[in-house]
Amino acid sequence: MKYGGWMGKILRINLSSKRYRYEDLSEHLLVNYIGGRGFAIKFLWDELKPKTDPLSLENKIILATGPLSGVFLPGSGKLVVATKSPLTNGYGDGNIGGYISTSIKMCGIDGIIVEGKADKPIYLYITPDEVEFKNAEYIWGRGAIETDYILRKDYGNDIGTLIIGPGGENLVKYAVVITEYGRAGGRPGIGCVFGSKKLKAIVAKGWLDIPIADMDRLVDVTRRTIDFLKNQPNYDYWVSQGTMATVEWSQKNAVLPTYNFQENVFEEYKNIGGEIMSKMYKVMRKACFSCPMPCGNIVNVKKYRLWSELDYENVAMFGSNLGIGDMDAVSQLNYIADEYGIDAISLGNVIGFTIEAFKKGYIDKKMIGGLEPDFGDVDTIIELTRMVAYRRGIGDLMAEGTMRMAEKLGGDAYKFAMHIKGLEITAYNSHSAPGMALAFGTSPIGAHHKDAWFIAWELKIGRDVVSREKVEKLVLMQRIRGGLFEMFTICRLPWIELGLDLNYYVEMFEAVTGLKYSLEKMFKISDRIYNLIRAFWIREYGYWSRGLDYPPDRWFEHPPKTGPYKGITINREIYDKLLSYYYEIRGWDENGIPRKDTLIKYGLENVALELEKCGIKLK
Amino acid sequence: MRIVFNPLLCSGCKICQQVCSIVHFNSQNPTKARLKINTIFKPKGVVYHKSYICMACSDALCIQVCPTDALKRNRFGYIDVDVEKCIACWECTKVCPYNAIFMHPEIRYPLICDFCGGDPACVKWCPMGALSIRG
Repeated sequence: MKYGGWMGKILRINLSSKRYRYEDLSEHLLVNYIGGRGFAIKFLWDELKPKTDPLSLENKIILATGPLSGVFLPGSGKLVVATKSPLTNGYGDGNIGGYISTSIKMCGIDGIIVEGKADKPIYLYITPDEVEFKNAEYIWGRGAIETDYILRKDYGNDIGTLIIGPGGENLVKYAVVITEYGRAGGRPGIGCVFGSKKLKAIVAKGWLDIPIADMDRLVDVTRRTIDFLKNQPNYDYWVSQGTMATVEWSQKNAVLPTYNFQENVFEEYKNIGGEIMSKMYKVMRKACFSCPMPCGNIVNVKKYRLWSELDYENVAMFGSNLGIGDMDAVSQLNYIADEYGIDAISLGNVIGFTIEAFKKGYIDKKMIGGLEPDFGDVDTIIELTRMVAYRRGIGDLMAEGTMRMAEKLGGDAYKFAMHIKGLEITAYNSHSAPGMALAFGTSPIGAHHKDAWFIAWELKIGRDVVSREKVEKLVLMQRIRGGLFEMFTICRLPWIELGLDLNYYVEMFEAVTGLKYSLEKMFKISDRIYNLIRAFWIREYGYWSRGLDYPPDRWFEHPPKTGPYKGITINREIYDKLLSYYYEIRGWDENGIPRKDTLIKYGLENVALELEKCGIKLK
Repeated sequence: MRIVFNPLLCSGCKICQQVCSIVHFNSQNPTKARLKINTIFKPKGVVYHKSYICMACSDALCIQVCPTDALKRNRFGYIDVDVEKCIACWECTKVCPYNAIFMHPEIRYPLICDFCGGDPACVKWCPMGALSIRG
């Protein structure tokens, strides 16, 4: 490799034939797509036949690192896991931390493409020397954390793991992959695709050097960034609570999802907040690889004799969203979800939706096996979780996600099915925040805050503000979070939480790779990735319309009855105006389809041609 | 003088392992380190960070067992390896009571903490203050 950072190879594994080969990555791919999400969407676009069934033999799993992953700089332990999502039928990716990303790179590869389907459960053991296809029948059916423990007994602790639990095995559409005691990734059903391929786990053990263009400079910039982060006034607070402080923050700002997003404040928020977690429960800090500002909160739940790793999203979705004001119960639910390998965010949504649908008469007692679920009813909620993981009874329907549930239940159920494009909304209830709603609406994987956690900026700009400038800010945030950090494949939290200047990243990129890229140049690559992801969705759907970028009707029609923002909903016209600004800024037409000149501007002429071949009219 | 580890402060980030490999090999490679931190867990059970760090034992079994006198105690009480003398028999790694002598597939001698000439990089860089020097 003439540049540092990249290993320059991708490992292609076919589970059907049990063969694998290493392929060189072209320089064109490296400099135009950088890595991580860039690689993922490029491979999926190039290699998947249009309208591939996500659970078929033809779908592929892409694991991709970036040039800055696994390198000595803050938050480099990140990996993109991507596939065509069985939940949304569009592009789906997730970002997972821990030691797996570094391990993959130290195997001499930048990523892995998994193809085909095994006939019996297997797991992969990957080293720089070879790939072993191992029989996984003895761990099939076991929990994800338990499996991790078993694998570590065999391979030691210097490994990176990606594991599915019973959720993925039983094709729960929002199953995730789990690593290291409950770090999850791949909300749009990456675990489900693992399960469809009978792939229980990927274990990587690497030991090769990652090439660095200028080591002295990297050490220097890392010294300065760590010093900067540690000197921030909120550093100690962050290390003590991580993302859990957001519970109190969301309550204060009335965006805490409560009772399936009916309300945006929760009277018992203190019982599930960061304050009580850090004082009464937290026993350990846990960082991803190379992170000087650990956000992992390991809590000890004495009541249920278990340990669990908590963060805001999971706690809000199991806590306030299900009306549970009890840290013990929420931690237990979180542990169960991790062990089953099911996305806690979607699960919290699905159960909340089920409870509300039951109370409104869309689901009768017979259909739900005699249960009478209610908000705050922990035992029934745990029972429902089990039913989802094993697709028992109504769990079979619940495992399909809120979008398909609402279709099945009919009537007005779709109005309170809290998803966008099929992916359930994360823990920011946006009745009063049209900008955040737009961030969810335009996120490239369906409703997720990863690309634009816009709520914090929106509060500064003003919730009521409806302007092009506001949407420009949103696009900027997507360029940074969804573009820059996803293609470097490192953590965004040093920047967003502790204010690390982006110019540090320009410097890191130069020190690691030897390439001098300005922020503008990187944003252009980021836009290329966004356009390609949008093109992928359109190719898979065969059409596009504004409605697909809309949040659920609840945010327009069902005003919350409590809290400082009671009675407030988003005005449809305002949302529509913001969406039009968004399309304009992105260079997309009024239906959200990239214009031909936009695609050409980003070097995606062939993409334009293929879309036209699929019958999409480009303006 | 000894390097001391506090598991309650540690986050398991492995920055110590990275700087160790950079200082000794100018390599980005945490598996080339002379100390190791692992996060140990059991399902439903405890989770904790465990360190594997040379304790500079007074009786230093590694020195005693070396057949070619390749291991020597340095002035900080830690161990220097004479790579010319070492025959890669790995006897030292087997006797270390703390599992703190490491092997790397590409290196033909054991990796043992040498205390970085009096100013260990791992201690200096640990962002959590989990590593310190005592004595």
